[in-house]
Amino acid sequence: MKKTYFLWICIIVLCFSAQAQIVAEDARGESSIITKNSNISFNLNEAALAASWNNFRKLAIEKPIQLVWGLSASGSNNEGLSDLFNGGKLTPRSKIGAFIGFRKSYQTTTLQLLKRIKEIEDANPDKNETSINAIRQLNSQIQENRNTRHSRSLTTYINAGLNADNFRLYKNPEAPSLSARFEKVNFRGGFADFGLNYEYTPRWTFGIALGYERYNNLDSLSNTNYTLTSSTTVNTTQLTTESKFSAYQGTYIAYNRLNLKTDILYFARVSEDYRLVWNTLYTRLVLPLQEKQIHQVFQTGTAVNFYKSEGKFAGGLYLQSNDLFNNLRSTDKFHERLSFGIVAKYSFSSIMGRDFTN
Amino acid sequence: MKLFTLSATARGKTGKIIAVSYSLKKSAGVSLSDNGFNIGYTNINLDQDQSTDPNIFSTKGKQKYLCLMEEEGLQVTLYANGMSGDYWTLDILVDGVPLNEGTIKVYTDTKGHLDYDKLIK
Repeated sequence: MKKTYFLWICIIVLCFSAQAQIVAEDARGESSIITKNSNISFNLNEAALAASWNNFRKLAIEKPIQLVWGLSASGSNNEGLSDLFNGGKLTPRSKIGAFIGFRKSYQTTTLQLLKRIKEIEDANPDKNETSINAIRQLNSQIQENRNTRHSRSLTTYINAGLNADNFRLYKNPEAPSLSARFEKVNFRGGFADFGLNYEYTPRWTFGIALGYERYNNLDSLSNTNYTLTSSTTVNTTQLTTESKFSAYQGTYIAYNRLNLKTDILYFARVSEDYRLVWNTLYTRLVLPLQEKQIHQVFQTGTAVNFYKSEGKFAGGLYLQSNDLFNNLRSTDKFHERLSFGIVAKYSFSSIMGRDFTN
Repeated sequence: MKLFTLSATARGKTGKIIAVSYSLKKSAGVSLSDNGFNIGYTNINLDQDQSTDPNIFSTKGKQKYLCLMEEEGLQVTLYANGMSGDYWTLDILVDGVPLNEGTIKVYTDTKGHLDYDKLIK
């Protein structure tokens, strides 16, 4: 039944998605860069589905300062997609958030001169020679200004929200009843990030975000499948029933932490039709607060997406070191701490577009 | 929307006024500069002309812009920014007839600009 719900969530999210662009994210589908965010991403390795609603359509027209806002939601199965296909149980993990920010353009001179051109045009509807000469001079000034500098913009934002995990924890092996042994855990956490995105056309976008988060260590617990067998004797016949379920084992901890994310995106034209956006190097630093049992972790990786300039589909790969300095002491072999995955994205703007500002 | 105070037959000192419609398409990474699109010394209202698809701008129905056609041609200026590989395309119709210039296509240059400033016929 939960898998049915999951599929319905997928369908609903896909139907109500809005236009957006494409970004190369990390293995968890996260990025410090919001203005190039993908509306739909489906990570085949982690079974994560994400969607966002935003007013990025307004960014199609560059103004000196623009308000940006958006809502985002993501859902995933902790055990990955393969477990679902193999008949495993769904362990839902969900996250909802909202962000608001301002985007400042550094094309100040150009935008001021363009405003002046418009004022002249509006004041001279007869398009007399004097006004036309003035407009030509202003256009020359704009071109001189633009020939010497790249386009740049800075977006400052706050992103906050809630996350949730629902699962069963095998807690007390000595407990007499099953319900006492398998505790149902409904974790509710939260997060708040402050971030900056700097665009330097035509190649680079830099992102950094510092955040505070209430989180848990579900990722480090082991998932075990159990079979409950019960028998009943009916006359001389024995009736046996079986039910299967999964639960997590280990020491469960909910804690507070600081997150620091950085991303460096590189844009390139591969061919006439194909483009790529390469997250050349992203880093994720996790610093637990007041919790000695949780180690700090430093992750780093690279991710690349290829997409057709006029297409809606994008596909990409990521390679990530989940614990660069081996703080978790999981294995001394560097290559065993690497993860590799495939990400597929699809923009549904052609099917249904939404503009929440209208 | 600019209110038309001119008639389509009005003449300026340097040319004649014509009725123009257009269709502008861009790739997702392009930002068009505010007030940065002008045809025949008439500002094109991009906010108003943006379609449901945020990357398409066009005149709708019988909507027209009255623009100055000079002897040398129609002055078209468009300023935009984008990432490598981004582009925009523009089709202009005068009295419903496409210009001889055909579809204009501009790619991002080395500074991240997709600018256009030419007289076309």
